[in-house]
Amino acid sequence: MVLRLAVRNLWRNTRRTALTVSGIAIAMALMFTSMSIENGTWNAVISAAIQSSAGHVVVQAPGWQVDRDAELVVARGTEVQHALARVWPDATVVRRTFLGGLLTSPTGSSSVSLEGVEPALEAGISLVDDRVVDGAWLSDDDRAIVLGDRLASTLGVGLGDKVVFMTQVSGEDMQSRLYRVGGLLHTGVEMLDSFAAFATVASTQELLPGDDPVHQVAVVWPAIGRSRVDIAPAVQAMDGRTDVEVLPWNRALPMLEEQARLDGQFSKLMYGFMGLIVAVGLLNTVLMSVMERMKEFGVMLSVGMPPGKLTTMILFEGAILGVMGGVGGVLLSLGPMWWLHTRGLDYGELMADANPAGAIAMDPVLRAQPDPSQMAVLVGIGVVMAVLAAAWPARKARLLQPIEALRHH
Amino acid sequence: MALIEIRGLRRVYTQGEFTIQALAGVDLDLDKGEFAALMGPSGSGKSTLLNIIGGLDEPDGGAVRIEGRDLATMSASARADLRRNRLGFVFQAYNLIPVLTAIENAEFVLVLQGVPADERRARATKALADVGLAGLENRLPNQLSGGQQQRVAIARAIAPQPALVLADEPTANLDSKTSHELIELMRTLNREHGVTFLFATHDPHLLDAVDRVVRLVDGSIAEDRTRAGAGA
Ligand SMILES: Nc1ncnc2c1ncn2[C@@H]1O[C@H](COP(=O)(O)OP(=O)(O)OP(=O)(O)O)[C@@H](O)[C@H]1O
Ligand SMILES: [Mg+2]
Repeated sequence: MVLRLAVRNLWRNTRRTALTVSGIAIAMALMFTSMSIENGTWNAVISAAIQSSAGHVVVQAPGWQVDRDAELVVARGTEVQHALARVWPDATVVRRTFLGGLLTSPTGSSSVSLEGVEPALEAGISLVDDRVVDGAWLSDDDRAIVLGDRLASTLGVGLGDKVVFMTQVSGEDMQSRLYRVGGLLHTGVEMLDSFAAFATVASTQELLPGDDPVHQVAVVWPAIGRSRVDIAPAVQAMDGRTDVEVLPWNRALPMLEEQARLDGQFSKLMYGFMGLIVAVGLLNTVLMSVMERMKEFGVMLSVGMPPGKLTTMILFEGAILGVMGGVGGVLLSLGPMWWLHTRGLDYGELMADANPAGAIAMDPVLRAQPDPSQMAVLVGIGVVMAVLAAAWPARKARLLQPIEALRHH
Repeated sequence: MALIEIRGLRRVYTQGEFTIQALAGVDLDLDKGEFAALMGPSGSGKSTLLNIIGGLDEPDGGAVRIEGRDLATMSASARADLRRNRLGFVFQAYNLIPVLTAIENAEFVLVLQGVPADERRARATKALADVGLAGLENRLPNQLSGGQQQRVAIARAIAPQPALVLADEPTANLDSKTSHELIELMRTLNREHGVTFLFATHDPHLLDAVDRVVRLVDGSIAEDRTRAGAGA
């Protein structure tokens, strides 16, 4: 009966109830939509970064993660690659090297970071090959190099021209190697277009010490986004080798993880404020409806309604407003989220500038990614807040003396 | 044992420097089956007395016993139980719950008592029929006239078969024809069903109909007159 009374009381002032519910619903829908965009963005940024700059799981020399020192290599890289492929047959496993050095041409020189990759495998997991605007992506040809387009113009070179890469790994002599420009990249990211170069792993290995040296063996599942993978099987597959370290992506890309977390906290704060504003509106509604029903409450109390039931009735009213608002919010947000999910937003260059790490591999169209469990939690929080907003008026009603309530007009 | 025993009842209102003796030592007994009225000038303490008897207000001195139980010893929730189970209230302004239909208002107290749905429907339907509202069960209060609303209020008061109905100026807002009908109705309920009524009223029609008139002046009983042929 208490529930029925609560429903009817809300029904009685349809316009006020409708306004309150739509207020909650709109706020919720805004939160859901912006959260889904945020989710989609971070999914895209992180999974792009995971695929092009690291992997869901990476094997590196201990300390390389911090120092990025070229001498810290994993020896017998192919062996490691095969061991990981046996553990995870469904994943792509690639070897990479990262070398800083100087690239010179007859007409200029520039510092450069040269990444050694396995061309076909890398093309399968990263969009880097799609960024080639002139010439072709790498093949098995160890003499070819692919450069950022700005880098090429600094050096004054074009397709087919020769360049020399020079580097010095600490403790070793200065080394150099001749390449021929096979392709030019344009990513729109200054850092990459001006300083990035790609060549085959095999060609860079000659510049490094040790037996089949690589800096990173990365395991990538292109379809799993930012999910975490249990690294235990990989650790086991390393067979007690102490010269390697197995890391999950969130430790291989700690900055990214941290950035996503901070961003998440910032939005939580924003949503918190939004929730507070809605709660104040809700409080106002329930309080108003309680104040104008004092006399009615007096009648109910006079005929023997236990004060507790009165309280429950008012809390129900708050809860119903919260539930209707939450459900309304979900319904309202479905349209925009669907649109943003299927069509997406073309952030293009903007995104790339903001997140250079992921830019090579990133699809410039961001798609909203609704997270149902997150939405459910929010609706839950909304209902709890609605009940809390009703708690004060409910308490007021509970403390009513029937005789005083009856005197209200 | 009287249904209600009132001894030395006092109620003082303090407003700033003024104190008002709303009740200045009232002694009164009311037996089961009585049909009695409190009369007296405005401000003489009629409503105050009814409210204290109903446990809605607390006295500053003296005692009220209902069926032998002293109200002063009861907690607020025990008084709520007493109101729900033993008392019926009818107020001047009909005081129905606006979101409930006539029958839902009539069965409201039965719901609070936990009477099973079938039984309380039947009892509320009968109470509405007794007050002459058969057929209007599903109207909301704002779809009923003032007299009809007051009938619903009476049905709500009598449906739980209370020991006592307290009615504060039940006819004050009604035209004389309607008020006459209502008085007849309550008289019948009293005669045929043995419902005890205590009114506070200025209405001469009502005063004519009751068996006993207790006249209050300045918070004291000035006269307590039982008519010949009373108690029928
Ligand atoms: N809440 C209150 N605060 C202060 N004084 C009050 C209060 N309620 C009643 N009084 C005073 O107590 C006295 C008795 O009031 P009460 O309402 O019982 O009179 P009444 O006989 O019912 O009058 P009426 O015929 O006008 O209804 C009056 O002087 C009134 O002003
Ligand atoms: Mg009065």
